[in-house]
Amino acid sequence: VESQLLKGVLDVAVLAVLERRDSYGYDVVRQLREAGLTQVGDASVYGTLRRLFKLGALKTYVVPSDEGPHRKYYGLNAVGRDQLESGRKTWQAFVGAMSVVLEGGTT
Amino acid sequence: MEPTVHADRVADYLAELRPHLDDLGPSERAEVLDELTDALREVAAEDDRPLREVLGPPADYVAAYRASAGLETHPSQSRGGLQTQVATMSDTVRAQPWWPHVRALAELLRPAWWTLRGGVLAVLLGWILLGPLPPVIASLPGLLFITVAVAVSMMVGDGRRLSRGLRVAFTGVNVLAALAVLPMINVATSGGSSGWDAGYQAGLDEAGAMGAGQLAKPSGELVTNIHPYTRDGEPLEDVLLFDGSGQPLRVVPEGETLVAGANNDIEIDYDRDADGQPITNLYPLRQFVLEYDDATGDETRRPRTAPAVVLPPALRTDASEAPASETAADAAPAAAPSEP
Repeated sequence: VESQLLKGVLDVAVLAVLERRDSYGYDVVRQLREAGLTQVGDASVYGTLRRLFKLGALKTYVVPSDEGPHRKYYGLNAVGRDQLESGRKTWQAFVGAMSVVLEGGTT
Repeated sequence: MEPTVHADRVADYLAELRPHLDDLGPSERAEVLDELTDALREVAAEDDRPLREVLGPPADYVAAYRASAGLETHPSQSRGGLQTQVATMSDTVRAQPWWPHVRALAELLRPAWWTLRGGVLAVLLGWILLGPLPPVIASLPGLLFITVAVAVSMMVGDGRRLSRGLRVAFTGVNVLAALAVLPMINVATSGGSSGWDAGYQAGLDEAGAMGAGQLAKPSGELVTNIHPYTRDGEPLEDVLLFDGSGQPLRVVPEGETLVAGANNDIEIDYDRDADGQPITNLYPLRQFVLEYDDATGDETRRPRTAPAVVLPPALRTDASEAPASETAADAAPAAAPSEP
């Protein structure tokens, strides 16, 4: 069930992670898991990053590293921030509605 | 864990994963593979287990990636043997620890390549349509044309926004530009000469080399023959001359042709020794002028006569005595050439 739910909210979850700080793909996966979304798959996060970038919601750049491989970092741009804000409102409205449904009409 | 071990595990998983991306365009597939290679490398660095165990079957991994990336899945296309080999090599390279560095450098150099591509294609097009390089580069319209081409090339970038049909042509254009870069740099650094100019320059160089092997007067004018005289003004024949090192003195290197003018050469009829070898330092040389008539294509051959000479006055015993022959075409005076 969690993985099904994740599919609908992964976009906004990834945008929210990137709102805190620019990150590379695996770091986004790690942050989502640390936040409790343990079922999130690497491939789904990478795919989501690619799609959001193609949609123009993310900026990207490569950070050189002396110790390991260079990493492709992602960050929010204006479009991404707007999308995150919109997703937040939608999520909050959805949670409120689901609370009403699940708790028998009380909020 | 050693990077090479990571690389092997990543390459193995990539090899299984790659066929599930075959339906993507070359550029998109390359991008996706780069991203997935990064992802696999991160996982491999943190978890020693086989990637199949950590991430699940490659087919499922790709399916999840494609679903979230919005990449439609098309029926897999079968690959030929060569394609498979190339793909395997590509996976191996991508999985190497140094690959991300190379890729990052390539990313940084992309705008430089786009600029170069525009310039190269503009010059190439100008060359094809208008001729040699200098007129294209050294004119205001030419420079404007190149500037526009560079701007267009920058706008097109990596061709990501082009339609699928145009991308094939775009790939061809990229290959053409890449192939043209080195020859163009070569031409540009050699003074921007066209084929004709280069040929002319080669001719000049050859002429220079020939001149360097020939006797020359201080003025630079080549010596074509030597006419010795006695101090009494008597012309000598069959005189063997040697330079300061005892080597036969020749006015023209062996095998070379003397050029007297635009349409005539000088042919030398050497005397031969007992072995049939030409005696090249026996003066004066017996010469013939070959004249070509461009209009008729006819060639005439006439003996080259000795030039008129003026002996030093102090040596004249009788002022009424005339010097030797008078009909010469050769401007060379009787002065003996200096030693080499």
